[in-house]
Amino acid sequence: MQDLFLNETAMYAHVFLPGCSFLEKSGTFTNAERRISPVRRVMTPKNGYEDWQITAMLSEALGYPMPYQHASEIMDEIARLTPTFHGVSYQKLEELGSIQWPCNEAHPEGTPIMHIDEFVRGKGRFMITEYVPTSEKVNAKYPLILTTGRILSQYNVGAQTRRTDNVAWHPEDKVEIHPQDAEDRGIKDGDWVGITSRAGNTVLRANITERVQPGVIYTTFHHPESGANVITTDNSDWATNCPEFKVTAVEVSRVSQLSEWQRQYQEFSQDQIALAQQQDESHIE
Amino acid sequence: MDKQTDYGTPASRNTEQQVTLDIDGHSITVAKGTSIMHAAMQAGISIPKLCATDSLEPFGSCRLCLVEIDGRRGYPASCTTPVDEGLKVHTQTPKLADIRRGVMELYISDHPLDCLTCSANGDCELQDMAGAVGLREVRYGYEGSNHLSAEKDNSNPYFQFDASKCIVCSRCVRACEETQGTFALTIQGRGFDSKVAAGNFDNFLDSECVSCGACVAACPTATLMEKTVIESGQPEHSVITTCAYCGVGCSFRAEMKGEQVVRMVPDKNGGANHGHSCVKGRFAWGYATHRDRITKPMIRKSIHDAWQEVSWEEAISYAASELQRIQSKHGRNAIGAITSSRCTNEETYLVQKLVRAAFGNNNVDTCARVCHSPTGYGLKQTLGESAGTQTFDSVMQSDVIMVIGANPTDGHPVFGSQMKRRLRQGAKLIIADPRAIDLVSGPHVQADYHLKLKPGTNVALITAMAHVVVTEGLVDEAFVKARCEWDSFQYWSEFVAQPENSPEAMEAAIGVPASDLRAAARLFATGGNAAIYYGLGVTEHSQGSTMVMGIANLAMATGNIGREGVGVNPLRGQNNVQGSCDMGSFPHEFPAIATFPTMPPAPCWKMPGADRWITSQACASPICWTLRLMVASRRCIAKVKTLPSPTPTPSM
Repeated sequence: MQDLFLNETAMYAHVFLPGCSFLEKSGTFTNAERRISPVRRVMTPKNGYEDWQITAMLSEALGYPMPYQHASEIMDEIARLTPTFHGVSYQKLEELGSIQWPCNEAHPEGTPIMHIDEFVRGKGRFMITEYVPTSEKVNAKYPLILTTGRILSQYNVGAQTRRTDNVAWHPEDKVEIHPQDAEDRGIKDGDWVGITSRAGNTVLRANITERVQPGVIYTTFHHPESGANVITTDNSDWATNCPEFKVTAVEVSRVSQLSEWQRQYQEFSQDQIALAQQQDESHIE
Repeated sequence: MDKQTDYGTPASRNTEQQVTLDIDGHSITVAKGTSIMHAAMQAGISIPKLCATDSLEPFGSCRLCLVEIDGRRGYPASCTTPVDEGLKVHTQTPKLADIRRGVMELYISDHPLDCLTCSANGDCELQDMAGAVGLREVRYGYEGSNHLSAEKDNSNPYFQFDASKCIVCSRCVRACEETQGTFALTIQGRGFDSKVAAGNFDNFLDSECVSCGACVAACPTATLMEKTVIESGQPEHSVITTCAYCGVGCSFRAEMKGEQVVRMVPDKNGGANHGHSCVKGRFAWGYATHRDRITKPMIRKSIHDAWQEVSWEEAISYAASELQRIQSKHGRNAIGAITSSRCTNEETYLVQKLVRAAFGNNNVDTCARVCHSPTGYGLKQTLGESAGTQTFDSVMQSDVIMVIGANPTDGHPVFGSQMKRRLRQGAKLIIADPRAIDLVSGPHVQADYHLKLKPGTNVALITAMAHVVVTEGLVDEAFVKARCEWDSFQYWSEFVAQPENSPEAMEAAIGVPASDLRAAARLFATGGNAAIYYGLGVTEHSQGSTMVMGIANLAMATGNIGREGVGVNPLRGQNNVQGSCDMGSFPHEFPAIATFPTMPPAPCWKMPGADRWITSQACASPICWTLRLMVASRRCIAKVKTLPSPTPTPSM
């Protein structure tokens, strides 16, 4: 496992390779508009190595040397291998600031808008889209649908944003419930609410709001102890296996304590943090 | 430290007509519609200013940028006066010097004289202007009424609001409106009592402020100031880099003191963000030096053992020997790697190369699997390329914007602000979302249709909209005939035209009135340039790929693809979701999103510089996608070893 922090996955790891933040390494990111932008190192890696160097070291130890001197050499190799990247180099990124792929002989400065004269595949192809309802259905036992999303101040599971002052805006995940559904169940704003699905259960505080429609509840997933995805199902996209995180049949009720899963999670993560601290202390001695 | 030039007013949108004028004896040719202030700055002539900055529309309130123009009366403000052919402008005359000095005297008579200890010292436009106009005395004294004892608001964790230093130039208020589109700030009161306020709230933190920092960047004084600058002082150099949070990919100037980041300032030249940012990119970078950070390698035999800190050599050699041991015991396919879409392209590329060349299998996957893999599949099937079709700027040409299963103002805030700007200019908005996201109704933004569908019914909704387009004769037949496979169109149009796909037949399942579905479809097909933006509310479904194809179908059928203002736009969650998909970090795909069926037969891929071929036979079918890798790893933890950066456990 390679990361900045002993995150939730690292707690199951046997080898922890400390990674570095974007401020400590060189490379490129490609955004949602295919824009390749440079990431420039502004400080020395606190762990001693840029992330790509760690992969190269492991590869060498496995008998496959990766003798790159700088991230730019990796991009040169990518550009050689990849038709849509043929024209990309760190030098060109330096000149243009950023480049939207495809960037090659046909489009030396990149391609802001795609499919202008013809589609990449030639002719656009219409596909049949027969509606097949998900097997995750509401019934008397699970009458509500849970769906999930993000909030501005936190980022995904929050490994980074939870370690900043952004927690001022979003210190915990709450479950949004329509006033009608809340009233039916005797739930008041701020109550602990147990959310139970066919897959599991978790407990969050209630936020009673008309943002959600009756029959639908909603939560964010920025805090690992919330366990939003403990209650989502094993369903996934038929073509790519992308999980069906957005549809889960659930029931909610007022409760007075955390779920069994959350208590186990708390215990496990406390143990794991202690196991990391133990070695810290032995190191100091 | 180099500062980015401030032209005072935005560049003219007119790029065709040119105008030539004379400013202080220099002949200058600029685009029609340019302000005199901007034109002067283009020629290197700096006109004093306070309320003007080039990220905001001109306001004309500070009375410092006045100029004289031959043949015109008075002293027009150069920020609000456009250039004209043959104008002869004077920016420095004795009369102008007198007026400017008088204006500055008034400002300074109600401003603390603590320049030496002020956090803006070295980066204060008020101080610069006092110098520029040659202010030497303040005849009004400091005894009268003033604002010098106004209280500081320190409620925001990242910036301070010090009202005693405010000159009420309105740059913060305008930045909140024009740049961010939140309208959280206002000027309260009139005349001497005017003051900047966070709406009707007591402080910034409790207000509607989203802490994007646009106001802080726009403030010409120390009134709105980053707390890191207050603590550390002015930065001494800067490096341009790219934010590591969301898929907008904002460009930033990391302003540094040695190796310490003092502040992150969005880059005006950033292609994705044009000088704007959100609370995460601008302020939430402190995790990099957080005390939880682990900087030494660690190993252990069992997950119940204490970690042992070891040298890099030992950690790498232990990892390698364990990987080899597992492979010799359980076979070559017993190990694999998952990369994060937070990693750089170069890192992601190297990890898939490690797996294919050193592990000798194709057991590599990326966390894009659990977010936008249906985008890759669906767009490849229909358009031929697994990527969004537009630039973000394209939205400024859109007449109809349809947002499906995405929440741009929270998930992709800088693009959300750009979209809101276009909506304030009058573009129509259709939202398909089970929940009322902020875009449904906000300051000067109101969705024309909020299709509050039941979660899980996306495909029914898009097919019902297609039914309306086909059966009401709204198909762009010229586009379809010229650009698409006619057979596939005919087959598809017969399918969507079936009565069971009509809004009336589907409304009960979808939970949206048929009349709304019909009206939204008509608007999309006939409202001019129509663009679709979508997120995980589309992809993370059992029919995620089907829905992506449904979106592409609708865009093609209405001719909304292949130009500015239209297109199919997946809002990718992480900074490098697109990149990680491009770098071959899927078991069935190589770099450039080339899939196995399109590659030569195995052994099929030669690494440049490598001395051996990589066989793909073992994993020609996608047997090791993230979910399955993770399930395997839960059963036999030791088998999956390499996992750079994502945190899949809570994501799954």
